[in-house]
Amino acid sequence: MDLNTIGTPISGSFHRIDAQAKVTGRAEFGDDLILTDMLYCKGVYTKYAHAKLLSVHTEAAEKAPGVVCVVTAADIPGAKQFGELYIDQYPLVYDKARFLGDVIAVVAAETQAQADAAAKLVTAEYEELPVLGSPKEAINNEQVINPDYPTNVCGGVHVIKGDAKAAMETADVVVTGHYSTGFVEHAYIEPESVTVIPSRMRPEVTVLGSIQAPYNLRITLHRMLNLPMARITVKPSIVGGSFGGKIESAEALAVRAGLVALKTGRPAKYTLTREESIQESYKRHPIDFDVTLGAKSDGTLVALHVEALGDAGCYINMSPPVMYKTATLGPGPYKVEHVDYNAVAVLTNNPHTGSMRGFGTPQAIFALENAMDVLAAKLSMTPTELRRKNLLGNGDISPCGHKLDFHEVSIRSVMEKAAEALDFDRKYQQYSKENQDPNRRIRRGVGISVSMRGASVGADGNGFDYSRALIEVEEDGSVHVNIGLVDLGQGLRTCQGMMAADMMGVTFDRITMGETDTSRSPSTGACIASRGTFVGGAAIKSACSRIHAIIAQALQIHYGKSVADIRFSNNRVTFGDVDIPFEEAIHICYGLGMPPMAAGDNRVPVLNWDGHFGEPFYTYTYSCNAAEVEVDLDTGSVYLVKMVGSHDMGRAINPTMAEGQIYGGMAMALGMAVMEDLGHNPKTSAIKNLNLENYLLPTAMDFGETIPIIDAHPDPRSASGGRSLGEPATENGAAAIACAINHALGKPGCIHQLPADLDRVFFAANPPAGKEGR
Amino acid sequence: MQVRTYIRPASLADALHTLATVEEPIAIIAGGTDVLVYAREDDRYANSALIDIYGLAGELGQIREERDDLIIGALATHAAIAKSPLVLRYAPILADACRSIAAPQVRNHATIAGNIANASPAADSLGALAVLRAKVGVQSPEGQRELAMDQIIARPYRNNLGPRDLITYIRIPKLEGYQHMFYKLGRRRAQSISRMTLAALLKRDSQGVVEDFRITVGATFPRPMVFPDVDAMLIGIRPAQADLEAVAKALSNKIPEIAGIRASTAYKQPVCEKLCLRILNNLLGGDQQ
Repeated sequence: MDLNTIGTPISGSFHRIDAQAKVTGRAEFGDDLILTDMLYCKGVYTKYAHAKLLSVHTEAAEKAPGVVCVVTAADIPGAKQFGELYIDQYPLVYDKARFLGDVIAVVAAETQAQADAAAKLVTAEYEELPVLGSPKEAINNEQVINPDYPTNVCGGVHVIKGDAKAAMETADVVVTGHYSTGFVEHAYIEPESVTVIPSRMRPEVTVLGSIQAPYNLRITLHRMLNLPMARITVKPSIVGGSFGGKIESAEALAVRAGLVALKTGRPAKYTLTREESIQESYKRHPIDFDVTLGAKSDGTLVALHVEALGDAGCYINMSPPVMYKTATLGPGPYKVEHVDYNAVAVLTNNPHTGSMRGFGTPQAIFALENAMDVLAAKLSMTPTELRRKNLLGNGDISPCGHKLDFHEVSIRSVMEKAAEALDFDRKYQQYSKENQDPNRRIRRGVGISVSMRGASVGADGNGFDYSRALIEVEEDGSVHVNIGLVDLGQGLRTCQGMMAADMMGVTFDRITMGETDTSRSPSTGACIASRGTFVGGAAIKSACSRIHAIIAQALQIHYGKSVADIRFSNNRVTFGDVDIPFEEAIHICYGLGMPPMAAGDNRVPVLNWDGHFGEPFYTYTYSCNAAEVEVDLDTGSVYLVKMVGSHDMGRAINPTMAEGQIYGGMAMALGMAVMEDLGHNPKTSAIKNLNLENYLLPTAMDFGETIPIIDAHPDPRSASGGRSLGEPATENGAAAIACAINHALGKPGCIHQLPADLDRVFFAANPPAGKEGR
Repeated sequence: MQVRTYIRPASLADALHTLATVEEPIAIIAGGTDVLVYAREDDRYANSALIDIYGLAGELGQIREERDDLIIGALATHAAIAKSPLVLRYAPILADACRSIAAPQVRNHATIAGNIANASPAADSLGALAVLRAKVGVQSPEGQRELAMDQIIARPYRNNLGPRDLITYIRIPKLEGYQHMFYKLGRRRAQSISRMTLAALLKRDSQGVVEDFRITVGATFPRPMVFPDVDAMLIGIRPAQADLEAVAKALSNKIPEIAGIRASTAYKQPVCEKLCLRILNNLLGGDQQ
């Protein structure tokens, strides 16, 4: 069967449209671009994590061989800061350095080697300031990172539903625990690279490179380089992974390279080495949690109280919306009437933290699910028994007050499928028994975790959750789709094409997906928040409907008949007794001077959420991960024997690619759970593990069996039926793995700090004398 | 990569001549899996003559027997050693160690002499070579000599070779009738810098009396170590559990003794003891867990 020519393409496993170019090496990534006359940039980093910058000396670098110019913050014609929601990031240090990834000058030269050599000649004078290396130290410290936030607290969200404090008193069992997570690097395989090309005609630039959010980047260049937005064109290259990481990171490079391009009139490329990428890019928030969870003796949850403290690093970046997701999604897919969830982010001199796959939830789910296991143990219940008792169902109220009566609340089915695929309940009993034997040094354990994920941004993003697409049907009946939601490597472009074919009523081979180009694709929100398929599909559907209306009007004129029952399907247009090929209908449109073109748009409805009740999100994906591990008590090493990722993403537009997302999500979760560690020093704010030799990611050898499960229930709130998978695929995986390790150790909740590396697991299994584990 | 000159000798004789005559500081490169990484970090070779001997694998890459010894050419790759029938027969512990290094790309390219000369304390082959009592054949314009494993490395990333010395082979006495165990503890299962390695060889007679025993710990000390005092604890006896526990204790006590008390000692010392006991039990067919 040729998938390209069958009707109703949604839910077919089409080959990715970029597969051949990528596997043959022909796809052009950011740094592949080479232009005549191009300059190469190199940044000079601050010497201190926190210091007033008194002066920068660029003279020696300017005289070095091949150097064309050196730019500093003084060269920025417009605003000195940028940011998506909070304008506080400095692409070049202006007054003071706030972390070790801040750049004080950029050298541009004829070759990269010349730029690298000359960058070493830039010197500066500083006045050192005390370094705030942790949120606890930074709160209310007399040293203030950003004067607009005098306590260094830069935002937070406090969910209050019911009266958690009073309700906790009525609980039969109350468990408490402290949990914490570390910095996690996105570690996209392609480090950042941006090229800015100045126009030869007028003050205008075109920006290419590995860019996740082209429209946001345009706003930043507009504000900082004083160019009208209409004179900034952004055309992302093939992006080699992003996971939320190539938004502000790419914008900082675009500003620096843009200064060079405008100053010299020559194209300027700025590519980071892996070390520079890890040094200056933002990370996933480390978050500390104090969890109190109360239940009746039958396991019914009564109240949840969480105090969460996130490390925002030196810039606010996305911290407040990240805390929003921590607080609103952290309580999990459970029926719990009384919730007090306070998530606060604090500025420090650490690497700043922002968008990263999960956006505040992997940490929160790790904390909550471990607390659930501690509670289950106290109640002599198994992890699945306690969860079954409390999972949400149709019509229930979510922990944040959302009445879930608009779609199938499938978390029970999703969890049971995962539990069954892992054989969780049997293994839980078997391993619990086996692990009683003290001579058994290699122990097995199973863990399970559940989550609900708001699709797209939530009520905190009211107003900017829109999407648009431009579709033009050419005279031969081929369809050109332009959409600014960038394919980051996950296969989004292929999904969009499949949805366009389905919604237009043509086969997939008729669809051509344009590359994102801000001068052709209407502005749309960024490909963030697991929204690319969800809101992109809605914009495509809107455009297709408008094109159908144009075609219907033309056919009515042409045939002089009613088109009330017009249908578009499988390359045919039918109404009344007329049944013509799609291309014939298009030919008629062109003949009448009515070429079909339309911009489609979609706005997520304004969500009303007051911190207690309402709609914190529009709709949700339900997910469960179940993991089985082997833990060597003598070394602390953990091996992932088997992992199941079960998800209801509404509808899998392309099941093979959906499974790919699930596999990748598990890999990211394993990294966070057991090995990824920046080697951050809280005294100096320095990072030790600046490359992938030292910052360890899992390899294929670190996985046993992995099983993706798609348990889809199409969502009436989605144009395609599909919701989100990008973040759900990874968000609760680390929790499941940590729970499994704790089961193997026979001590629920005892691994309370991630990553659960060799040392932590070893000491949890072999507590030093006098320090018996919890 | 910046170098003063790049020289690719056509033969071993040519290489020795080059070593004798070149005036710049000398950097010898074989597979380059370490040197090229260092060159990316800084310009440390900018004033050096880079002598690339990788093309001499015909002369220096062979694995052969020489009476009671196994001779492994300096340029034998880790992959070649791991699958060599001679190594598998007479020194299988070295095959295991070579198989545990990095990932296939590196194993296919990196050479055994390079692993020794680089002198990383975490180099996986060194522990196996130490218990095998390997000798390293070194040639220089002055002549030829052999160095024991604990003599060839001074401290982390510093070998005891002179600038005009060239490792040409590794000599390993053939062993038969031995049990062996190479254990690598890493933070992940491939592409992993070892946290600790243990290498052990054991030979018993038909009565179960230990004729020979050798054990060492890698990725822990500044240079490869042999511990005749620990080895002697089992030789000549039919070990009981208490003897194995004593060996594990003695071996793990070497960590603070030699490396001093470091932040990692709290982890490494007990882990070494537990792993040592587990390995000894495995070798003696006792408790498998």
